[in-house]
Amino acid sequence: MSCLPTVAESPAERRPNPFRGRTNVVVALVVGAVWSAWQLDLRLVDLIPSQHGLDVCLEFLSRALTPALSSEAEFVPANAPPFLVTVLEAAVTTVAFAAAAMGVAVVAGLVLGFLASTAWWSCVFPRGSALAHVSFGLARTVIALMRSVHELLWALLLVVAFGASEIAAVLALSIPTAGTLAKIYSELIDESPRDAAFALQAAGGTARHVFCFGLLPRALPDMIAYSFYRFECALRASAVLGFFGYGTLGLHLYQSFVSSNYGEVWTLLYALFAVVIGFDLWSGAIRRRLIG
Amino acid sequence: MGRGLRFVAEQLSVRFCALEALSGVDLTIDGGERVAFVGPSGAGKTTLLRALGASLMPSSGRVEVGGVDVGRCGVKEGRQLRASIGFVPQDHALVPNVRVVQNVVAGRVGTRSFLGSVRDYAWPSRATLDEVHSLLDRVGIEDKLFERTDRLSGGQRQRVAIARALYQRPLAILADEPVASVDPSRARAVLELLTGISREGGLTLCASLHNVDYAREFFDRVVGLRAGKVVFDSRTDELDDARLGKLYALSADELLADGC
Amino acid sequence: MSPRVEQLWRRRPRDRFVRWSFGFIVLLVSVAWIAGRFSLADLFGERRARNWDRFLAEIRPAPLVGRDWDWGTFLDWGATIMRDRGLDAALSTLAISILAIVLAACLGAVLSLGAARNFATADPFGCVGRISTGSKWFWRFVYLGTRVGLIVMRALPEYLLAFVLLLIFGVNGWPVVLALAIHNAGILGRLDSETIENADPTPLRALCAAGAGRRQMAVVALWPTVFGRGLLYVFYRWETCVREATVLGMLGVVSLGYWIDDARTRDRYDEFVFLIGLGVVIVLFGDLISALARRLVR
Repeated sequence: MSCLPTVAESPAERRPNPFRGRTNVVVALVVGAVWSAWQLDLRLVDLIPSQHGLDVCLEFLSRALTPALSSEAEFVPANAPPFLVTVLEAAVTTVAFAAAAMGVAVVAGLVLGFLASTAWWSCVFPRGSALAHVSFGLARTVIALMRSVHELLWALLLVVAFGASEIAAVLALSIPTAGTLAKIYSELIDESPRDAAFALQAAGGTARHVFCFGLLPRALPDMIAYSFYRFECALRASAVLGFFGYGTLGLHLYQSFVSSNYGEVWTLLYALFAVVIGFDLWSGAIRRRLIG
Repeated sequence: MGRGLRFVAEQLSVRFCALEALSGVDLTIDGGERVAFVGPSGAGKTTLLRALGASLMPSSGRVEVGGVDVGRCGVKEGRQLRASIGFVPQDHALVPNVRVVQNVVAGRVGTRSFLGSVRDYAWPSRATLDEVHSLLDRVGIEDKLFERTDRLSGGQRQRVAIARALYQRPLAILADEPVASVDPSRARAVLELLTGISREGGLTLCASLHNVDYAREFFDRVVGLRAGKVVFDSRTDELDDARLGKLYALSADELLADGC
Repeated sequence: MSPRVEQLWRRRPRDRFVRWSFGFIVLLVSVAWIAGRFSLADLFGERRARNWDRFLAEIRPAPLVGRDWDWGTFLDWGATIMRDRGLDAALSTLAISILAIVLAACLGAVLSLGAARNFATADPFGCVGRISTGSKWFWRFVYLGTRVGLIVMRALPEYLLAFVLLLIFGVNGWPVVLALAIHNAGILGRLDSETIENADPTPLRALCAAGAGRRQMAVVALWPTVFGRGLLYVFYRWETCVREATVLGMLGVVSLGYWIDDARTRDRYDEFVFLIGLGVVIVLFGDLISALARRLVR
């Protein structure tokens, strides 16, 4: 039985709180920003690039409209594939890493998300039990730990622990993604309106019925839309993994950058834009249709 | 009369923390009777319906539905009891982003196994579809069978909620403010529908209403509630205006406390 | 099934786009797993097992190698790392994230005006009256330009952006801060513009009728309505910023990532794992602060 707030209780809650309110938060942000600049020893002078930096910048930007269509490297091995094929391969690898990681992440995220939602446990064990409390706490802890280490750090950690392999990269991408998905899934399920669930309960439904037909369908569109957004994040992270030697777009971007082949850099950047922005527009269209 | 459920409340009280929603209600509703609960907001109409619908345990006193004591029955008995009562909630309580047929099919969760319900929900059989279609035909929106529920108007959603309650094959229908969100002409149609269904099947019908005129027009009996107590309980033809005036004359305190 | 039901079934509203999209994603994931060179055996081979054993041996703190576990020694060792670089790196990581998110919030607030469909038109909220063709085209250009700009800003991964900016500005804090700020301004700008588009237009129309100009409307009416929600978004994004700020140090700027990478290249896996653990603490601390701040803002 729920405890509704009554009139007698509310005046105590409305007591003015000196730390409440947006002004304090904004002041704290400004103070934080000033402290940050001091801590990082930032000076405005450093924002003026050196002559060398300026040259690099101009040379880089001047190639924006003339991306390379063939390799600009001074020495190209005779058996090397054409540059554009390399770019395409890298783009496909980027997508493949992200897709494989998302496959794992969605499944793991669903399992962990259910375990971390209060609605699920109140449906499975309506009267509460020690097992429920332990599993709930455990799921929340695991999710927090998965989320709090960045993809790239997971990649380093897995490589150090198991040695470099493609699967290590996929797992590195999927672990924090699964954690974040689980957190959002559990919040969406817990926050979705309960009216339909109560109606099914009043019709004699069991806890499982109520969860599956009352709660889950209401949260599902938001869950799908959010998963698509995370896919986009995974694509970006997958591209960056190339900086650590995996064959995604980042690898070639890094190599072309350090050998100052800016035409190649732009070709690769446009490929990256095509992949990420294309997916962004697609997921935006799906979100509009599902949520309206 | 008929096969409708008989409801008995004896000294029924329901408390939410410090708030006493119902205090000492005595009420007997015979099978097949059509009763309207009227009274100002916060009088306890919804609470009384939920207590009669066996989805709220009384704090004290007892509720008997079809001869079964709600406070004493086990989990399984409680489910069976609730499955035999069609509850139409005030805000329709439908899932907006699925098809109408899925919302209606979800009504029979009380008597179907879990896997059976999943099958009905995701891959309904031809017979199920026909049954849902005939129910939607009865409530007047047969062409909306496969429509997405959030594309429907408020009145149409109300009808879907009624169809969902009917799909339970109930012995009684409890409707909470069934005409709160529709305009007067549609309100009449909804009430005609509900009373018609009750008459055809001999179902007991209890509905909470704000509008006393509708109560007079469509129901056999009117129960006036105020501050959790039954103020009057009489047959519609014996109802006089003096009693109604008393019911709605709010004291200043009550006006301020409204909605809390 | 009765003919009428069949007829209704054939005429049922269907969203083919969503259905196909869903199928395509499932196909993509399946193909990636089948055709890709991802095999779980790579993690659990015999060589991997040896690697794992070696890793477990090497993450034992250096002063404790070959000795029994002793919390005193462990704490001394941890305190030394913290004094040497851990604390400063942790503070720098937080500083990078805070400065970046403040800059992103300001930039995003400005850009959101240009990307809001109802504001960036020749006739905002329908009260200007006369619309010249020139101004129509000008605002269409502003709207599209800002939209494309925002998309590009958030399509660029922070890591890549920081790498490019480091080549231009040299090694100091700015490139990392700016990279984070630009990416997050792209995200916050879009979220803020959506809030503006959903804002109630009636007070704005009234303001406009009272003779307010574009800038006045932005300052007096639009930003205040967006403010609360925008601040919530700022803190949500700040949580991500803390994670990213840790990692961006690997490019050579003194945040936690720098020392994590440093420990790895020196093969000091005990320090490597310790510093990653410190990163976890910072991130959880950030999440906590953000949750508190969001509660204050609500």
